[in-house]
Amino acid sequence: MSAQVMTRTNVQTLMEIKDLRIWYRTTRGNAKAVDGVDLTIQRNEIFGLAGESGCGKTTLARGILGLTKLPGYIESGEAIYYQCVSDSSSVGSDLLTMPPSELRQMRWRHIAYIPQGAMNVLSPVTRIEKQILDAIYEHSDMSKEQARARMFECLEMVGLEPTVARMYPHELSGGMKQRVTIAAAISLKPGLIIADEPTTALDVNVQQVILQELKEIAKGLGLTLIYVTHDMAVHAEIADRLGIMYSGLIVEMAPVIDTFKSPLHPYTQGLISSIPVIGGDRSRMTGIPGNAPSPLDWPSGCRFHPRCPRAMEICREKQPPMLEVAPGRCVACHLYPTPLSGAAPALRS
Amino acid sequence: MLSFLRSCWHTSGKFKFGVIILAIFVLMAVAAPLVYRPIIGDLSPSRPGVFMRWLPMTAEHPLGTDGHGRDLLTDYLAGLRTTLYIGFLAGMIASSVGILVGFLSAYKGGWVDAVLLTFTNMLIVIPQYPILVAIAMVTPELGVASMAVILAFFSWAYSARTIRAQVMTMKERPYVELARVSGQNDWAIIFTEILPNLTPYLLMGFAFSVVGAMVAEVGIEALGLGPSNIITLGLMINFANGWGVYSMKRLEILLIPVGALVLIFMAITMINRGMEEYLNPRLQKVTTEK
Amino acid sequence: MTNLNDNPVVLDVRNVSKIFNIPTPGFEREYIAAVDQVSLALYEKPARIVSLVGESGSGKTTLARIMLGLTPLTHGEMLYRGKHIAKLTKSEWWDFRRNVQPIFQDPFGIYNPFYRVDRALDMTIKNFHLASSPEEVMALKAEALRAVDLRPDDVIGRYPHQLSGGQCQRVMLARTLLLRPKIIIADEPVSMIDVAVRMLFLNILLDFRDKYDISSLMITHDLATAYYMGGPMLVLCFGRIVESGDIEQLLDKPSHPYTRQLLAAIPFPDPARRWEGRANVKITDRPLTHEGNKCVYVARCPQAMDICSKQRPPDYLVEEGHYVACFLHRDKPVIDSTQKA
Repeated sequence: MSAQVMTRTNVQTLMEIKDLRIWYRTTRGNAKAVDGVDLTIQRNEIFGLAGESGCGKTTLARGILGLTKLPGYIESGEAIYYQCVSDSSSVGSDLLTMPPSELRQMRWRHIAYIPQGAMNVLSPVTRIEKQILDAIYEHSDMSKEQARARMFECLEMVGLEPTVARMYPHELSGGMKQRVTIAAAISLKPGLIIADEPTTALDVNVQQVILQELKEIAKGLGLTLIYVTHDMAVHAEIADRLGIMYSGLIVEMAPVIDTFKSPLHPYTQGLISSIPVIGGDRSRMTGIPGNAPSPLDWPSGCRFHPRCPRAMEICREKQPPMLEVAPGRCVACHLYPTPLSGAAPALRS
Repeated sequence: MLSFLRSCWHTSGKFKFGVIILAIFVLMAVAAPLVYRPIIGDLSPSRPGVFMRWLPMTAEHPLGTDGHGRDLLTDYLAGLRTTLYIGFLAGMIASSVGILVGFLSAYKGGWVDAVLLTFTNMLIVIPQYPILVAIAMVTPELGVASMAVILAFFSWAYSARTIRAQVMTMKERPYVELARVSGQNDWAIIFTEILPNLTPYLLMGFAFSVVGAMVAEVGIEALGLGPSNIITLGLMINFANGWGVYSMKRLEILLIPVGALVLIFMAITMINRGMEEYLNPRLQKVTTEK
Repeated sequence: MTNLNDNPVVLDVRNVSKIFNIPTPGFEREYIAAVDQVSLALYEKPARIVSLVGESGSGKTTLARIMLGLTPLTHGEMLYRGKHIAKLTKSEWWDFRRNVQPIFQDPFGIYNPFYRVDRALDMTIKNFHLASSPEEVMALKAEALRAVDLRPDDVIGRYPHQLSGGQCQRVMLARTLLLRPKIIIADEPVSMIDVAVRMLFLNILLDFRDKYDISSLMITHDLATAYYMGGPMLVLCFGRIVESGDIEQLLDKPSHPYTRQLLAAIPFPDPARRWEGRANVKITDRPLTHEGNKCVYVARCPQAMDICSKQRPPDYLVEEGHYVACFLHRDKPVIDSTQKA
């Protein structure tokens, strides 16, 4: 039984996530880590997924790829990945209901995933070349020569010498190991790469190099990159569009320039204003008061209301829907109740 | 400790299962005298020749009698009691020694560690069973307690190694450093900082020692090298073999002790696994939380 | 930032090095200098927040541990109130412990998971004899928690996993406040808590300085955090202090190539100001063997010259209070490192 398939005449959309809910069964009830996420990813863009610890972004990233492990499970929702069949149409299939064999085909070949701490899971007893080649053989039918050629191509693209192939992971520095994981990820020319905090453990200098390389590779190869990190400055450097996640939901989604210049959601505003800037005004900053809520017990209505400086009565009762309030800018906040299209949709509590 | 056990219970089906099975057996062992006293009165359960031999299952002898004229149910219950007793006793001794050695080794380091570690490793490497057999052969009157001590001697090594490994990691933990800068002295750190966090490992080491001791006991007894005047499960196996119960079609004489042992070992293993199961997902949770 | 000779020094680190042996196959011993002839001094007055900027591998944590008395040093000496750290009497040692307190990086790891969080406070109160009755203990704890903007009811009786990272770190601050130390050595205190909550913590450190005269040595890899704290800054690279001065001076005239690279590499949180061009950084591993006769940065420096691999650069005076250890500035006057503030 193959997954549900739909056709689109718009080839710009690469992925559509609709009302995705990923929950964890715990002894204290269900932890609703991802609780109704709606996202659209466009082809060839660098989409930044921002948010702080506990907001659900890693769960989301892993969930789309079918990597959710017990006690986590998909409660509902779809993650539809579209592949181009012609210049004007694409065919989409739901990754969440795909049979495992098809999903494995998808992974690596179409969607590559660089998990958090990827450089630490390189097998310490295998040479680099074998690790990359194994990934290539596993997910494609390239011949040995083709695979080797491809591997060297990728190593060069990430700025590593061909001699690295014969080395073991412990002989490389953190930055080099991370580049190896990136090389492995692009080896099969995927359409989408999802990277989860790839530079968190690296030095600032190394981070700069890797970010610049990732950006070049993404633009150069025409692939789409979903970059997950809590570091807003990194998003400012490389993202085209930004999705801000809070308490398992996307609260704002907009082009990165707009997000920084005029953030709409009070959480985004708080987030951006709590980043210390070198050379900026040094008056005391306040950050966002209160604590991040727990997925076992999300606040009622709008989840941000207990910490929001502009909370109103309605915020406590009803969850604001995600509305497009300006071209390309979506926000889920009662301060912006009117969508571009005019009609306000029914609210859910 | 209690909350740890409670959490294991809630998290792991294996743990629940193991605890229930083990509890049943322990209950049987504890309640044993209540059951067999009515049958044999004040006599020792191991005493032969009290009844007619090879009686079938009747109301008076629910499992019949064995080749030595003993009531089988009494055999079994008393044997279970003794075997479990030996196991737990040996387990306690082994764990205590193991904890002491493991702690000292890890905390003191240096030459103390080197000496203790070598000794521990030697013990692990030496084939315990042949030595146990040799000792058993040479010592004519082996009481239950002495058996326990001998068995304990060979099972503390595993405990010691695990504890040592754990303490060595914990020594470097930030909260130990915090204790140091807060003025705690070394002993306080060992007892109040490190020891409480070792509970799961202590329990696992204990469980392992118990199983190890029971296996050794069964092994010695089954070969007939242990004292034959005290009935244990291992001894029952030995007798069953000797009487040729297969041909006599009274297989249950063999199956009951074997079955009991298998279930007990399985239960303890499941408890161990259950504890591991609880510990591991918790470790995972801690690392993904930022 | 003048050197007041009559200003007592609380902690004086003089040419301290910490050498670790690296086990290698064969007979050759390799060793690495985690801290390489570092000198710095923390004064009694005025209370200041000194930022120590360094990345992973720079030796900052090792230096912090040496200054806290948790790790012995290999070369050089460290003086507490003028007395050598290894020669302190018992009561002087307690005084040292009381006055030099840490804040560690991992907000959750710092608590023993077996106990409630306020045990950390209890332990400190008990060992340093800060209270004489249970009521006093309770009062002290409540006062300290309120001083760090926490409600005692929210914290007392809770386990570490029930609090957030930010709260845990603030409880640590409350704990140090109990002792009113002269110096807090904070090793990456905010890198593991959410950005939105970092400000709370940093503001409390600033409050400590202003209200309670507590100085802090703030160790961080994030220049932006160091900038927010203001004050003197030291740049640590591969175990050596390569540049030091007031943060404004360093921003205005970054003199060491490493400082310059660091500044250029920091992502700026404004999409209108993105990096231009490609960074020219050689990514190599830290030079392993302790070679005292070269500049530590020579392998990665884009402006390395011949002399850099033959000698160690001394400290040159760039401007008042601003020093750099780099041969690019060899035209400037040399300063004896023990003269630095």
